[in-house]
Amino acid sequence: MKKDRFGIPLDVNGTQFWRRPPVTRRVLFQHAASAVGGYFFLPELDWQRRAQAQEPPSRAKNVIFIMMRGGPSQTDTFDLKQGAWTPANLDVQTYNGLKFPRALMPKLAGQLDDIVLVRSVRAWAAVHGLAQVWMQIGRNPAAGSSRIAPHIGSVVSHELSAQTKDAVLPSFITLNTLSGIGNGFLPPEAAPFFAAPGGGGLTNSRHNDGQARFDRRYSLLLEMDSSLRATPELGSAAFQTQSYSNSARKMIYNDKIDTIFTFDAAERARYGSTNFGNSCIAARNMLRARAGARFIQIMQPDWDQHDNIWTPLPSTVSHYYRGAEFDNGLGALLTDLKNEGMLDSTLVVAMGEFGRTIGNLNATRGRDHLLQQAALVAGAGIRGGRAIGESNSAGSGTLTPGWSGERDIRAEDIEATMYFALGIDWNKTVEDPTGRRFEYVPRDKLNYKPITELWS
Amino acid sequence: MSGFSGVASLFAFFVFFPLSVSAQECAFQVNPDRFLAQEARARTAVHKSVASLSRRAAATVDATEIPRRNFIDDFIFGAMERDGVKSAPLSSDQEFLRRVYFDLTGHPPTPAEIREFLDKPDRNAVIDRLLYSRQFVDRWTMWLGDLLQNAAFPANFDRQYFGRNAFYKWMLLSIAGEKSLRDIALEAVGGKGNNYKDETGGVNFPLNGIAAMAPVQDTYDNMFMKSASAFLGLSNYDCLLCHDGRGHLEQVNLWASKATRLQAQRQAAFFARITMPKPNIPVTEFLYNSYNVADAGRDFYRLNTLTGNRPERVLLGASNIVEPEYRDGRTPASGDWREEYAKFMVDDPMFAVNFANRLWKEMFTLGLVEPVDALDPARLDPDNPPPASWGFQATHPELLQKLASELKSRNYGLREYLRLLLESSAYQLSSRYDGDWKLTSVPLFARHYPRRLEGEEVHDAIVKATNIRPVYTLRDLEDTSWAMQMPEPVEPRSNGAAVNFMNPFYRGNRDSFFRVQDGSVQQQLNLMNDTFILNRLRVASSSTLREAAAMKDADGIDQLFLLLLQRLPDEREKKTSLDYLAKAGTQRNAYFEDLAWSLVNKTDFLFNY
Repeated sequence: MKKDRFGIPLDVNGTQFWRRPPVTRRVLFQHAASAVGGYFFLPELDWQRRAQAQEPPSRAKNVIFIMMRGGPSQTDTFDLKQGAWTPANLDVQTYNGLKFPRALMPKLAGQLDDIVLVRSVRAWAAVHGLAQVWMQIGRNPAAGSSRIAPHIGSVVSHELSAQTKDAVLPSFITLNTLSGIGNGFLPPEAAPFFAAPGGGGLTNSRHNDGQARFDRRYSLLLEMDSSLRATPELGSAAFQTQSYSNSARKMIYNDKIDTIFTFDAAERARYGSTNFGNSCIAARNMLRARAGARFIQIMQPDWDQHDNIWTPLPSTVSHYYRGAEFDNGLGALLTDLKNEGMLDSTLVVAMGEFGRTIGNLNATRGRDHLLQQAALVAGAGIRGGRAIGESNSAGSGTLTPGWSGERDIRAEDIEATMYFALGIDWNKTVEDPTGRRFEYVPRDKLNYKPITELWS
Repeated sequence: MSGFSGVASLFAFFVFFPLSVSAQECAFQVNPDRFLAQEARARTAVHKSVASLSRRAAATVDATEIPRRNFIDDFIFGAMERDGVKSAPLSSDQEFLRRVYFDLTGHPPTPAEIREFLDKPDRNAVIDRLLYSRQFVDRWTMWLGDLLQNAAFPANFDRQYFGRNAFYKWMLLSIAGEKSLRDIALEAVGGKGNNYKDETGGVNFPLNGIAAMAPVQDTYDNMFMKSASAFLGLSNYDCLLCHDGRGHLEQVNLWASKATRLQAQRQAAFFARITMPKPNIPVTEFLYNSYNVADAGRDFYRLNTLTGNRPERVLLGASNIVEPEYRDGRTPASGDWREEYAKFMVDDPMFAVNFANRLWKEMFTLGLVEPVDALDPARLDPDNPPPASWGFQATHPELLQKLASELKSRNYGLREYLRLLLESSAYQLSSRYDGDWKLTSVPLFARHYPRRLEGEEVHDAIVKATNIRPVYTLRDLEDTSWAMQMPEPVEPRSNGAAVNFMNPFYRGNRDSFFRVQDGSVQQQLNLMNDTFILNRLRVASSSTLREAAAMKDADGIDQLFLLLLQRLPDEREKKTSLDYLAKAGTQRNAYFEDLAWSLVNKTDFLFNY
């Protein structure tokens, strides 16, 4: 039988869905063995070998990814550059050599010991939609099999599915929005669970007509639908619906769910009384309740401020407002995670999809899009109280990468860092449904990889 | 409007199937939902015999016993006969009516329509009436909008509400006015004019190709690729625009494995003269921010890029100019390259094959070729079979060829082509199969394959059944009560509750995530508890429920089943319902509402089967 270079028989070509893939267990393991073997002979992959060989320093079990949507001004926040444009009331302080706008983010200013400011980050595109998707799927949305690429959280969810299958919550949660990037080609179980917590419980986890009525209705439903639920009469998609129905039923009038999504005004106030702050509370509660959530994305609107970024509060469209919203939510979240011993097991990453123009403000007293940006990282046992990387004096580009990649840190490296932190093999490659290789972290000449320096 | 669920098992099916494909920066933008549909559906249909358990066991029959109504049946049942596979019986009248209503209009039939039909079950007459209904126009405008990706705010450029509305109305009028698929394609791909104007709304299609922050060749590539994918089913051009097929596509697509990057670029070169200036007018003018799409450029597709979304384009020979040349060797006769390309495209045999197959999938839930946008021209011609090592790509190559020629001979008319499919016995088979169902039976279409209802269909079914109409306002369009009349699936933006009710059904945004028919936990939470449902299942507020509740128990139950499940209850369901109502005491209306709730949450509510 003719075989290709991977030992796969060539007698069946193309994808005909009713055929099994032309690969046997033997061929699979032959290939797997030779691929792994061959891998280590490639000299340019030396760093990979080193990375793989050592014990992961991260003990993280969870990731919280805060998407500062719109792109905050890095030179006014995580990579502060003082100049004529800096408002006097930012109260710029230097902590351990790090300049930080204390008035803008006072709570985080007090927690810099636990925080690394990554200042050599650079986006690939200064277009909101494109760059936002890029960050969330960890690859170029306009290239590769990106149209079916899963969200990073879906990959995490898929990888951890064995550990989380009986949990009340799906392992990938997206908060403060009700739609967004999903599971791509991965199974629907890896799809994000969207919620916009307000403190009044999870939407539709209670029945407006009352619990007694619900219970009565639900037993009637089980009786009415028993034959369809017992047999795959309408095919397995219909059959599968009952597993979703059962999962939903588990969430309804569930104490754990109520505890996670119910919080009072005092608690909300401590987190800033914003939608973002409320999502931070829910994130903390999920981890506290060990409810199954492992990758939690929180959307924070809207840093896209081209105009009047220093209009004083109570304006809700200035960096003062966004800064306070962010600081109140994340500041309280970090405090609580730390006090409850969960910070070490949770990697927290906060960043926008790109940065903003530097130096003096633009004609409308705002800042426009710029590729250079910065990120805030905390938790997961990283060594805080410092910066990684250094930008040039203006803040428009990277002066010192500050990590072994010796180049700008990209969305793909952030993605690799998340997988790495969770102990997921970030070098893994699987097959997508089109028969193409899907690399968890895309491979190209830039050799994307985790920022292990966070831990060293 | 297609896609499917059950991707879980699909993944297991494929994991670790290594392949010699370089993944570096390859731009194979497959259409995921349509592709996934194929595999998932295969899985969907896999199940053991349910004979002893089945509620309405439908005895399978010899394929010879099914009446042959047109050539489709000759091919479909002929293949079953050859393979010795039994066929599901023809669907019941109830099953047929619900199916054809949802498939053609996205709406369920009303109890009166069901009763009238059961009284005089003339299937062809129903098909004819639905093909020329207003709901048909809405449902197929949604389909076309998905195919042509109409969205107000895609990531790479702003179409704005004005452009979206013009594109939407252009599609609506095209479907309503029975414009042929051929003319739709000519206007969308080769058209000129302003994208805010309804009559030239089709020019919004090439705008989808705009690549932000990238060399202009990326835009030409995208414009070509998106047209080839939607209109020819040749999305493998997305691979070819980065690299030759050789060394990449040998196991994926026989035709593409022999095509080169330069050939693909020669087709993208037809788009090199497109110009899309925004009119230089005051911001207060309506057309400010619109695009005037024309072919006024005089430049060429040049091989001179080092950056962008595709690999370097470097000089070949003496000139970096890529001359336009269609894949069959034709070259433009005039300077109007894009228009020339559009004409070549609609004459390409793959144009008819593409729509014959896509529309087949809309009706049969599974394409004759899957995925519908990755056709392999080298493996489709029954008179010119591929090498033995490949096999035909279509499950029924002769049928697909004949369907394509029928589509052409029906002047590419959407309705008349659909009529052909719908009138066949093949379409009208039951989805229940009482017999040994095997994975290998899937490509034989020996039963009808159920599909999960779209978010719009669920919404509209509830509104229609309860007759409690919401009013949604849309930017610069008429108010509507129907989700299927939305110009794009992220609407109604003016009503967050309605959006939140429908979003978990994965309508997509036509830009960064696409319509799929996956299930989700949130769907179930919404069906059980969302106020959109609960507030409609009230005897006090719903005229239709009130009417049903006022009937005697047995009649009221029948009426409720017709309203919500579009069928009469079977014996066991009837008994369960009667027993339940018997316990109601003074709370009969409340118990009646409970019954309604249980029907909405039944498995079959969510499926078109």
